[in-house]
Parts: sequence; structure tokens; C-alpha cells
Amino acid sequence: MATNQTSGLGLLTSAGLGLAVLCLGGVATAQPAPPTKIVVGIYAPSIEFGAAQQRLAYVQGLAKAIESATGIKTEAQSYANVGALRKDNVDFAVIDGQCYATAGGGKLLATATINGSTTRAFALFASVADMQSLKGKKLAFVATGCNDAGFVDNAMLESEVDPAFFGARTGKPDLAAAVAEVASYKAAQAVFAPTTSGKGLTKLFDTGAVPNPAFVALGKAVPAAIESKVAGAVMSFGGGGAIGGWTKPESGIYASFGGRFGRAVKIGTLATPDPARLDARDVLIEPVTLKDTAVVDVRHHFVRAGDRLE
Amino acid sequence: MKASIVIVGLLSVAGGFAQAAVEDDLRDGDKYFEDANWAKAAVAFDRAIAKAPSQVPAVAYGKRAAVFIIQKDYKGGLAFIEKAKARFPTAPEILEQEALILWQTDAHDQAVKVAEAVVATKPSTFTNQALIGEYYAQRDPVKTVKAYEAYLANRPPELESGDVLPRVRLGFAYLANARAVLADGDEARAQAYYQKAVDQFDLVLKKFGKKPNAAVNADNGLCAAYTGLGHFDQAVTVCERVVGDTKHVDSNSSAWFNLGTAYLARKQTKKARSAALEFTKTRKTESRGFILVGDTYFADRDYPGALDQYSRGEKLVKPNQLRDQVQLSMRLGRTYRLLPRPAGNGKNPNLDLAIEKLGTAFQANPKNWDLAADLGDSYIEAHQDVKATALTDKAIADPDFAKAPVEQRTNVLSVAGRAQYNQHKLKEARQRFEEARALRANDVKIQHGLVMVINEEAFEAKENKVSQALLDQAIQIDASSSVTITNLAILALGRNDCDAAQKYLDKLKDVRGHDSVLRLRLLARSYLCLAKPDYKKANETYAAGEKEAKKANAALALAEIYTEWAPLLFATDLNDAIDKLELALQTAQDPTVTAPAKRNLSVALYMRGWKEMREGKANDAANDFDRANRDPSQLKGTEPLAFEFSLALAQLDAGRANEALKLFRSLATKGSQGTYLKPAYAKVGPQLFAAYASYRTGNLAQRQQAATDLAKLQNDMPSGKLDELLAATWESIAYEQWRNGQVGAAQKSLQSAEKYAGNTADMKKRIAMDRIALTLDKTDLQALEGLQGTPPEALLNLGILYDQLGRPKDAYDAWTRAKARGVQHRDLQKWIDAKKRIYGY
Repeated sequence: MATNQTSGLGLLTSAGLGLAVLCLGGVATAQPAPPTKIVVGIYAPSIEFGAAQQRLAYVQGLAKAIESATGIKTEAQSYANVGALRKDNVDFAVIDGQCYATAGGGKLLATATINGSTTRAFALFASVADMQSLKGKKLAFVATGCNDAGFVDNAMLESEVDPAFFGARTGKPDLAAAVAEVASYKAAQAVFAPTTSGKGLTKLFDTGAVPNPAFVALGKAVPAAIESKVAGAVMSFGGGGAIGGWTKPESGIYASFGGRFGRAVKIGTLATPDPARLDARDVLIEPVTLKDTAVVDVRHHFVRAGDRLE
Repeated sequence: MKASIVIVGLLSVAGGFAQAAVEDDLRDGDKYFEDANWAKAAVAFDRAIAKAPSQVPAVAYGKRAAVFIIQKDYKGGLAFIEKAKARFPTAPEILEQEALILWQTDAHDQAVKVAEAVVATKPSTFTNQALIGEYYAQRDPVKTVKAYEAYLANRPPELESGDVLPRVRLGFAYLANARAVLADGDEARAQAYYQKAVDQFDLVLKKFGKKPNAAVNADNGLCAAYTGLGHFDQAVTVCERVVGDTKHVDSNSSAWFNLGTAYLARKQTKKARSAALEFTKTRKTESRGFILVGDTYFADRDYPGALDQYSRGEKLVKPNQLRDQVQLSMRLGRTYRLLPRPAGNGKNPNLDLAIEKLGTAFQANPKNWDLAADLGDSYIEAHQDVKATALTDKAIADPDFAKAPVEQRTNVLSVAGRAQYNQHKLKEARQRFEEARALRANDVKIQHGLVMVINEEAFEAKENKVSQALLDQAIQIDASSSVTITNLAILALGRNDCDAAQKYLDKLKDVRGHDSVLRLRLLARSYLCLAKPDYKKANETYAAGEKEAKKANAALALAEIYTEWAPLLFATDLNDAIDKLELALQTAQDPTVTAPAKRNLSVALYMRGWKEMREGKANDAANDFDRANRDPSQLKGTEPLAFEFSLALAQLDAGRANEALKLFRSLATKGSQGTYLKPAYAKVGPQLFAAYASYRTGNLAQRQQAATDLAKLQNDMPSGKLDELLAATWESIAYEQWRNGQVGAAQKSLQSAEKYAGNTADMKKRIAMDRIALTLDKTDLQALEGLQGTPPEALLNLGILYDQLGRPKDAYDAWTRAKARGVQHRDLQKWIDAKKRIYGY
């Protein structure tokens, strides 16, 4: 936590003094001093930045935008796994959707958009034609360290496929590598990937949507005002590249996605009881008159000339 | 003509003889006369007269007078005759010549006066007959006929060549006479005259056809005569010849009139109208032309057109044309009756005008029975039956009525009969029709009227026997009356003599004009009430009747057919039966039909209700029971209680416990359970049904209480049904407990259920499966497979085990079968979809 806390009054430079005093008097909450430096990290292996350098360049651009908005020096760091990122105690981070959904941590400030959406549709891509042919074959996956088994077996395969179905599983550092394992190196036969990332592989079935990376505040000492400015800067950041932009935080998509990581257990059902009925034949003395159906009196058909003979 | 009369006059005189005293002179005179030496003959006769006038016979005077005529000394002749008359004042030989001279001198009236005196004493004086005939040809057809017939009978054969005009005139005189007697209503004499005319004109054509104007005149006469005789084909042939002869145009245009009449009779109305209009062009002031044109419009049913022409004709009828006046009034009357009724519901002014026209005509001709019949008809049409009766009673009482032609009398009697019928005086009506029938036994209309009156008497008779007797009389009058045969069949059905009814209905099949829908409908009914009912034939005949009724759009008959047919379908197609009864009730308004239809519908709904109960369609059953019980007036015996009880059970099954309990309570207050419930249920009814209601619709606690309550009834009820109820109650308790997550309690409840399940295989299988489901484990695979999909939930559980065992295809198949078998589970479809999506099944 590279913060250099200053007096809270130090913030009262541009806003109206009287109002600020009133606010501070009314909310007697202690606010940390603004940091002298902000560190922004990134761990988003499911985002196809192409190369590590591009990923770093993206987060650096984001850091610059934050610095510009907050006036606080901001640094960017790219991480190879989520553990390292957490260990570094960065102030803010771009975290892969799977990791944020399974482990949470920090305060969600924004959600990434790709092609205008906060989630991406995923599918199982394979080098074979159907699911049956994958039995005993190898599955490549992005090894995020964020309940990857739950991601594959439950979030993607909906607990409908026996975990032993795939003969082996090979974890890759990012999505590009996982797809390449199937598409290029042929070292595996299937991979879960966004529907736009199949790269000549056969899409076997859709698996559902996966939330895009989250931008979270991890540093506890960042004043709310700074956090707000950071969030504003992020949401205003166009950036370009693999992440199209950022939008207001959508915590629901992560919660919902996180709920899919548990194994769905099917519980048996009891038979719907067939109610015992009192049958007419058992209970009722059938009215003997039922056979007395009625006929029409034919007398009214008596042919007459009517009231008049004209 | 004058010359010819003179010549024949001379010949006539030449038949005389000479007087002995002056016989020489007279002999000379006769000789010279015979030799046509008129001068010497005159001298000889004058000498004889001068010598001994008293010895000269009248015939010699006549000859001398004839010479005056031959010598065209009419003045001298008359002077001579004056002298001769002094001696022979009444001698026809002399007067004959005087008449001839007077005719020659154009003193026609005097001549005819003298000639009539001559022929009165000596009819064979053909010269004078010819003269009289010619004189009256334009004046008096009767005298014309008499004179010419005498002429032709007495004229010497050598004068036959001069017969053209006498015969033509005679023919036309016959025609005139025919018309005159026709005006008096003497059809037979008219026909005789027409025939005589035909004979004359035929003779002229054959013997003198080549003589100038002979053929033309004969054709003209034949045209009229054939028309008068009603020989319209011949009339058209001849009349067309006349009007087609442009060289000899009939200045009277009468041929056009006759041709028009003949065309009209042959129903060639357009041609008839053209001919009649030709006639009116030249005979603009004669009413008959316009009347004929009117007749053509009438025949074309163009009544406004007919009225227009008749009205024009009416203005032209002369006061002395009484017959024409009457005929025209009748035509106008009939036309007014047939004119379209003006819009609106008020009185028909045209009918009033008809009555006015006919009434006026009848006042002037109170003994015209045709007119009386027409006026009476109009009164009936105007519902003025009392007036019609007064008119016909007066006519029938008239002494001359008995002399009237049969047709006219029957027409009046028919009107009288109908008028009486319309006043509901059946006895009087029957009497009139019987009088009419006595005159014309084979008149269909009279037969029909009489038969209808008798049928009405039969309808009104209070006793079936009397009705039967009356209909037996009616059938004697008209054995093929569809009305009588139908009514006989109805009477037979009414007394349940369906074999007899079938015979009548079988006979009716071949009678023209019978009501085929009614016949089939009655026939179908007859199969139901035979000594040995034939339901198959009844079914077939109702089906045939349905087809006919639909074709004839006979909604009421169809409703009746459905009402009686539906019960025959109860055993095979209750829904169809109910559809038919509902349709019957939708279309019929008459309680005669709706009451039995409602009764049958109630029974059918009750029966269907129980069928639906057995099929588990409690809502439908409740609806049917409710409808079945809606009109208790149609129910019999214990039906209202049984129906209400059935509704209560259905409400229970449908989950409407409150409504069911209300009904059970209501039934309890009504008592009489023993009349509609079997003994065991009648005894424990209130407790049993309350517990049953709690079991079927209550919550877990209520069901547990129901199980306790039911168990208390074990001593009062046969164990079979009670055990079934107890087992089902415990099963439902187990189910509720499982849903609440009380697995252990559910296990215990299932044990209780199993205790009472007895030999109910399905329930035992359900309980077994339920016990597996409570602890579903891979080891249960064989047991679940052994259930073979019974109950269907076993398939769902089996699918879960397959899934756990990594057999996704088997799991998918099991779930799909479970779904198809109606298993309800929140996630079942989702599981099926997932397997399908992932594995591509």
C-alpha cells in the first residue's frame, strides 16, 4: 500500500469551505488521508490482449487516466496470477470475472464491457465433431486459480457431465494459450472460450454467459472521494483493445455466475399420490329411474289445416 | 243479290198451273213464261185476267207480277199487285212478288215485312227467306239463322252455286247466337252453334273455295268458330291464315281477337298479347280487346299490367254488355286479390277493392254463382268469414242454385265449407264439403277440404277412439291423404301401438307430398316402442331423419330427433349424445321438446360426470353434475339427491372442499341417505365424508387427523374401501412430509400406508418407489429398473441414478419417458434440455 496520507482538510481546496465544514460536522466519519500514489493492477487471463505487453500497456493507459482525474501519481502493474496481485496490495485492480465471482474481494467500482456487453457468451469448442467423441480426451482451460474445476464442471458443464468424462485437463495461463492448445498445438481437444474466440474450432454447445473483468478498489485507505474519482476515470476510459470500455458496477452478474460454481445435485422425487376416490358404484345406489329417458310427445305433430282454410 | 232474288223469284213462280176457264190464255202464258218470252207471256196473262179475272189463279197473278219485275217495271208491277191483292189479299204467290219488288226498290223494311208474312204462311218461299236472311244478317242472328236455314232447305238444287253468301251469313249468325247463349250461361247450346258455324264454313271452303271472297269469309268464320269451340290448335292455324292474308284484310280485326284468345289458351302469352293489341288498334272502343290484353298480363302474373288493361276495358263496357261487365268485374276482383300487398302491416286495400268490384258485380248479378264463389273467396281471404257464410247460405238457398252447373255449385259449396271451418263450425263445414263432394266426388280440392275438416274433428275429439273413428272416415274419402295417414300413425304411437304406426308410416312413404322428415322421425320412434324394440333400426332411422331434417332446415324436427336419439348413444358416445341434446335445447322453444330434452340431458350429464370422475377429471365432472342437477323438475325419484351427492364428491376431487362440505351438510339435513347411498355409507356418511374431505383437500395436520378419523370407522365399514382410503391418506401424508423435508416422518407414514395398501398393486409400487426415492443411492438402480416405469416418477429417479453413474444417454431417455408419462418436476425439462444441448441427443 503505497499511500502517503495527508490531512483530510487538505482536500478542501476547490469545494466551498462553508459547505465542506458543514458536511464534516454532520458526518463525523474519519476519512483517510489521500494517497500520494496509486497502484493499479491487472489479472485478466480470459481477456485476449494478444501479448503481455499489450496487457501492461492497457493498464498503464488506465493508470494515466486515473492519475489525470485524481491528480495523484498512478502506477500500473500486470500480474500472472491472482495470488500475486492480492499479495502486492495494489490499490485498485482489474480482476478476471471468474476470480471476482468466486473469490470477491474489494469494492466493485466498474464492470468491463466488450462489444457493448458486460458478459460474454461462452461455448465448448473442440477439434472433434461432437461431445461423444470427446470422452477420454484432454480439455484445455485457463488456469486462473479461481475454482477452475467448478468453472469447468459446474459453471460450464452445468454438473451434467461426469467429471471423469475428460481423460485429462491442462491448465493454461490465459485464454489465448488455452485456445492455442487445441487449435494450434493439438495438445488438447476441447476448450471453453467466448463464442467469438473459437478460431476454426467446432462449437459443440453454448454454455452460458461469463461476466467480464471487474474493476475493484482493494486499498482500504483510499478516501471515498478519491475512489469516486478513480471510478469515474475508469468508466470514462475508452482505452480500446480487448476491453472496450467500462460501465457502472454490475455486482449481480458476478454473484449469479459465482452461484453456478457449486455442483448441482439432483434429488429424487416421490410419486404423486393417486387419490383414493369414492366411486359411484361403491357409494351410490344408482337411481333406477336413469333408464327412464324421455321421448317427445308426438301428438303435437297431428297434421291440421291450421286455423283457416283459405 | 237483288238480281238473284228476282231470278229465284221467277223460278218460284214457274211452278204454278193454269185455270180451266181461261185455260188457253193461261196455258199460253205459262208456255211463254217458261220460254222466257216475257212480252208474250205478259200479253197472255193480261188477256186471261181481262177475260175472267176471277178464274185466274193467284199463281198466274204472281207470274204476271214476276214479268213486271223481269222487265224492271217496278212501278207497274206494284200497281198490278195492288189490283191482284184486291182479289187475293193474302196469297203468298202475289205477296212474294210484292216483297221482291219492294226489295228491288230499296224499300227493305216494307219488303221484309211483306216477306215475313209470306214465309209465315208458306215457309218454303225461299226467295223471301233469302231476303229476310240478308235483311237480318246485321240485325238479328236468330232471325238470320231461321231464314237462311229455310232458304237452304227450300231453294232449288240448281241455285246451289249462289249459296256462298247465304251460308257465310248463316255461319256468322251461328257465331253471334253462340255468343248470345253463352252470355246466358248456356254452354251446351253455344257449343252447338259453334259446331254449326264450323259446318257451314267448312262447306263453303270445300264447295265454293274458289269463288271470290268465299275462302276469306269462311276462314274468318272458322277462326271464330274454332276459338269458340275451344279447338285452339285449329283456331290458331286458321286465324294465322286470316291475319296473314294481306290481300284480304279483315276489317273487323276479329281474327286478331280470336287468334289472341287461341294463343292465350295455348299459353303463348306474348303472341296472344300482340294479337290482342292488333285488335285494339282497330277496335279502339271495344272493351273485349283490352280485357284480352289484360288476360295475357294476368297469365304472365303481371297483375299491375292486367289491372291497367282491365281498367281501360272497364271504361269501354257498354251498359247493355251485362255479361262482359260481370266477367270484367270478376277479372278485376281476382286481379286485385293477386296484386302485391302494399308495404306495411295494415289492411290490404287491394283486397278491399277486389271485394268492392266483385260485390258490385254480384249485386247486379245475384244469380251469378261464379261471381258468388269469387266474392266468397275474397271474403275468406279478408277474414270476413261471416260475410262469406251469409253470401253462400243465401246462394245455396236460392231455388235457381240447384239448376246451376255442377262446377259453379261446388265452388260455392267449397267456399261455404271453408268459411264455416274458419269460424270453427266443423260440423257445418263438413256438411258443406260433403254436399259439394256429392256433386263432384272426384274433385281433389273438395276432397282435401273435407279430409282436413274431419282430421280437425279428430284432433278435437277428446277420446282416442272417436279420433280413430273419424280418421277411419277420412281415409275412406281419400285413401292416399298424407295428412290422414300421418295422423293415424300419430294416434297409433300415442296408444303405443307401434306395429300399427309402422304400417301407416310405411304406407306414407309412397304418398306424394308427405313430410319425409316427420315420417322418418316418427318411424324411428316406432322402433323404440315395438313389442321388441329394435334399437339398431331406431338408430339408423334417426340418422336418416337427421339428414333429411338438416336438408330441409327443419330445426324443430331435428331437435326432436336429437332428443330421442341421444339416449341410444349413451352407451357408445356420451359426448355426442350431449352435443345433440344441447343442440336440441338451443333450437327448440316448445316445452313439448325442451322438457324431454332437458331430462335426457340431465341423465347424460350425470353419466358423463361419473365417467369423468373415473378419469380423474374432477372439474369437468363437477361442472356436469352441477348442470345435471340444475332443473330438478326434470329429475325423478332419488335422482336429485344422487346428483347432488355426486356433485359433492366431484367438488372434493376438484379441490373445492368448502363447496363439497356445504353439499354434504345440505344432504345430511335432507336425510334419506338410505335411499341413495349403499348401506355402509349411509350409516357412517357424515363422519366418512368429513374425513374424506379433509384427506382430499386438507393440509398435513388435517390429513393426519383424517387418518385418525378414518381409522375409527373400521368397525362400521367394510375393510376394503376404508383401507384404500387409509392407505391413500397415509401416502399423501408421507408426500407432504417429504416436501417439508421430514424424511424420517415420511418413512414412517409410508410404512402406515403400506399396512393398509393390501393388494393394490399400483399403490404398493408407489410406496416402494417412494421409499427408494427418500434415500436415493446408486445401489437402488436395480430396484428402480425393476419398477419398469410404474409409477412414472420411477423413471425420473432412475434418470438421476443413470446420471450419477455417468450414463447421460440413459438418463436423458429415462427423463424423456418420465416427461411423456406426465411426471411433474420443477427441473425435469431443464435436465432434458441440458443433456440434449450438451450431448446433442
